Amino acid sequence: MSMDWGYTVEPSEGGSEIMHALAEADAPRHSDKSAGKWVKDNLFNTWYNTIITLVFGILAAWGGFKALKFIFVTARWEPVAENIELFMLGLYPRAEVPRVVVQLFLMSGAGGLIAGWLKARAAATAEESGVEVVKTPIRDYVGSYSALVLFMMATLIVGADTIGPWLVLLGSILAAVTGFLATKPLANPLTKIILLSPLLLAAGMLTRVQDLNNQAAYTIAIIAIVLLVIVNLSQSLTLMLSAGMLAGVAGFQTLSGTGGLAWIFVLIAILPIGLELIAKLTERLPAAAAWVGAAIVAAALVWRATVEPTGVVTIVLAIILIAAVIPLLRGDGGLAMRAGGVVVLAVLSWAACNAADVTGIDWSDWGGLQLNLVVAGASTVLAFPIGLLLALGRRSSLPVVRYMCTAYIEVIRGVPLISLLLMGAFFIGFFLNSDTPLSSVTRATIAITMFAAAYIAEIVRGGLQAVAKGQTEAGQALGLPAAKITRLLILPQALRAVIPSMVGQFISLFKDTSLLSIIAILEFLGVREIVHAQEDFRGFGIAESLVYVAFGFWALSFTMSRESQRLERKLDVGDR
Amino acid sequence: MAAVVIVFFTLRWLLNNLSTNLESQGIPTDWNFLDAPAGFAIRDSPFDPESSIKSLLWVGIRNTAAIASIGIIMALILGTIIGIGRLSTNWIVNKLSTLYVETFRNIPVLVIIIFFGFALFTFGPLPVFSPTSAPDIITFPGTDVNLAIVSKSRLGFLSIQNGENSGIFWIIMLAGLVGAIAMWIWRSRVNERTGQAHHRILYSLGVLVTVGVVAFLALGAPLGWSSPVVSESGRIIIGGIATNDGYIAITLALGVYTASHIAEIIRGAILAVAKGQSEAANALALSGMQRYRFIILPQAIRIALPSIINQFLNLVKNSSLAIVVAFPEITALTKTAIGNGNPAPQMILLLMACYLAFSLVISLVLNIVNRRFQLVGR
Repeated sequence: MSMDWGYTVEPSEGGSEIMHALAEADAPRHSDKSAGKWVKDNLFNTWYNTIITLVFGILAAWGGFKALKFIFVTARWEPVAENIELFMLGLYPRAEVPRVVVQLFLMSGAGGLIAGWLKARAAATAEESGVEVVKTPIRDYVGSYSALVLFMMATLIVGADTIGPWLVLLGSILAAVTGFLATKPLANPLTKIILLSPLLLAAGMLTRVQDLNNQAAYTIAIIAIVLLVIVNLSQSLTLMLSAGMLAGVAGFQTLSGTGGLAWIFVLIAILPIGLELIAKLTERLPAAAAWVGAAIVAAALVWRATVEPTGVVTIVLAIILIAAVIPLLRGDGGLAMRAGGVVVLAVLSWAACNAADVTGIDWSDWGGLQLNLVVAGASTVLAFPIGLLLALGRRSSLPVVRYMCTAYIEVIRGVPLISLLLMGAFFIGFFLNSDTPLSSVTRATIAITMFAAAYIAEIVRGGLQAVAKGQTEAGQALGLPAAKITRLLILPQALRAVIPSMVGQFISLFKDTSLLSIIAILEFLGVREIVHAQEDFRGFGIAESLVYVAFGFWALSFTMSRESQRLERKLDVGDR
Repeated sequence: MAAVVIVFFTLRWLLNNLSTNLESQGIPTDWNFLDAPAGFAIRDSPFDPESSIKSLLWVGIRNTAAIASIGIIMALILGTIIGIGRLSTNWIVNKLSTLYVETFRNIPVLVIIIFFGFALFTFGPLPVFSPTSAPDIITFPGTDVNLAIVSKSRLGFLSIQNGENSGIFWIIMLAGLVGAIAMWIWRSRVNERTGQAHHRILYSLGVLVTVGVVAFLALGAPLGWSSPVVSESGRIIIGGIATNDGYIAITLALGVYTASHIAEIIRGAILAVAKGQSEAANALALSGMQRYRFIILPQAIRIALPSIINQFLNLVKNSSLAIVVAFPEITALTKTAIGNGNPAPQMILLLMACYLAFSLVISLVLNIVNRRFQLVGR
């Protein structure tokens, strides 16, 4: 029995039926009719269809002509062309642009690695269950990515006045290809050379691009090469995932610096492979080794407690220690081993971050399209655990928990994002006890995260509901405790089912980041304010810059939504 | 249980911080500001700056309702047409509908709103409205009754005006509506009992129109037209329905944007109706029209309604973006009021409460509709 606020619509009610029908209808089909018959069947089969075809055909031709004439003849693209850096990066310090280049390379590499991991995982699963992997025809990729490519080409053609940006694009593509190839098992040395050459090219380019410090470039390149070679030799799925996430984290940190919380991201990135290694180690070591794990946690706790007795890390460590020691006393040392291992990994990542010591660019200085992507990504990542907890809380058997979670979800879903952003802009800082005021971007990110968490909670809840009841009952029959049933049986199935919806949520958040312009943050849309405040472009080319921004948003959202549809067909969520 | 305790203490900590901080900043924590004068005028509105914040919020709520009501109707009609267009076998209709959906679905609604503001008004062909420049006036052919006045900033349209006895007229019309509903129920029963054609729409409309015409003639024309005219000062429009560019831009933009989402829902719902249903209809030798009217659409509506209700709620929430075309709906007014020194926490709490109330009202009404459509015990 859940609280009914009257205006909610169950996610599984109708919505999933519609999504499934659409996914099926949009699956690519390729017909082989002759052209003449096709025209007759699809355009002129009845008298009224002939009229409709003629009317709409003329309208479409006229509209298309007008649009093309605007784009290629009448439009004045100077405001866009002269300010392309503003549109991409906002007021980001120009001297620090090489960091963005490194970030692009690393992010592309991460994308390649993750794509390769997804592919390898799909292949492994298919082999296990004895089904064939469905190959995506190349024309589907062309259909998805053409919008993105078009946008990048348009941006470069209009805005790039040197060869630099083209080289950056080329390097990013090469980095992505290298990352992808690294996940492929390769037999002979020749292919390995081919594998590495794009990477070397990319590394070389890193040093060529503008004035990036050569030493830093070589360090990044060498670490990347070593990592990729290990990935390639081991062919371990978890290593691919960890390497991909690590590259992504590194890309993010080249901009935001490695001080503060960076070690947590690094820890999360290396956690998959770390846990696998710990599990392997546990098998080989005697059971008593679990006490060593507990001792490591205890040592870390003592160390943190002397430095910062009431810090978050201290409290978390204390909770972990208690949680690990209780089963250990009963003879179950698994948790203590894992806890000890994770603490070691945490210390390692903390040490690594300290050693790297990159000072960051404060993200109130970030801007342009970069900021939209980062804020959307950061809010999705931050909101996911909150949303997951909210979704589980909404299904909790404790009424207090259930009501609190439901109230939060329903209130947030009932109000517009702009009201939360205004809250962020005017008084979110008042909730915190800090002396330094939060930057406007941070406040906006908090507001968007609060907003996204409620929506993600509903998506996850939909996924949880989609898991058949028999699964829970099967778990109970095996005598598993409720927490284990949720963690081992329900969540993996539920989360797999919600991946496409999560991508959809990211797209919608990405579009919603345009609202930041209302609270005076210079993101992709808001940059137009300063572009048209310039002497040369005051009241000039206003429509053109808006068209460019709209095209940018459109291209990215379109490509992402196409990819998510493909993902949905691939996972075939509806058919389960 | 531990989670509850943690959440409780976190909340207490947050609220403690809030009250301490508000106190130290000298921001009032009571609600007395609601009765204080607003202190600013609203664009294109007779709103008196001396009126209270309460009445200011009321203006905002009415303006939001004005966007939502027209926007929802527009989105539903346009969305249905395009959704069906996407299923058309005519290649050009199909592709144009797809182009429409894929374009508007993937552009932020804020960009679309700004675009409509620019395309229709800033760069549109309309004349400037000022004492020195005359707006375009469209008159009823052959007379000098103004149908509409259009310009870059102000617009006025012909409207119905209540005259003498209009109160009685509306009461009679209400009775007529009740009669029409009774007629509808009676014809449905006749149809169920005897199987003869019910012609419900015809009969009910007949009742309503007859009552309306008779009452109109008997009361001696209780309603009249109100035609928009430019005031003598040349600054505002008097009579008719006066509105401004911001309203037109936001309503059209939201209608167009939401339609792209509704179109996909309609298409998906029609596709989701099991194929066997369609084949069964064919086997019964129903015509194409009949198949849609009696077999596919009733089931498709049932599937689509919950998602369409969600889109309506989204439209209401998106109306908060009218701020960028300077239309004074509730969010824009709240923001201005906060800028004028009213306490932000209370104002934003009220703002959220308003949207929650809007959501509640809309979904209350539509959920009743929805319940009528859903099958019981499915």
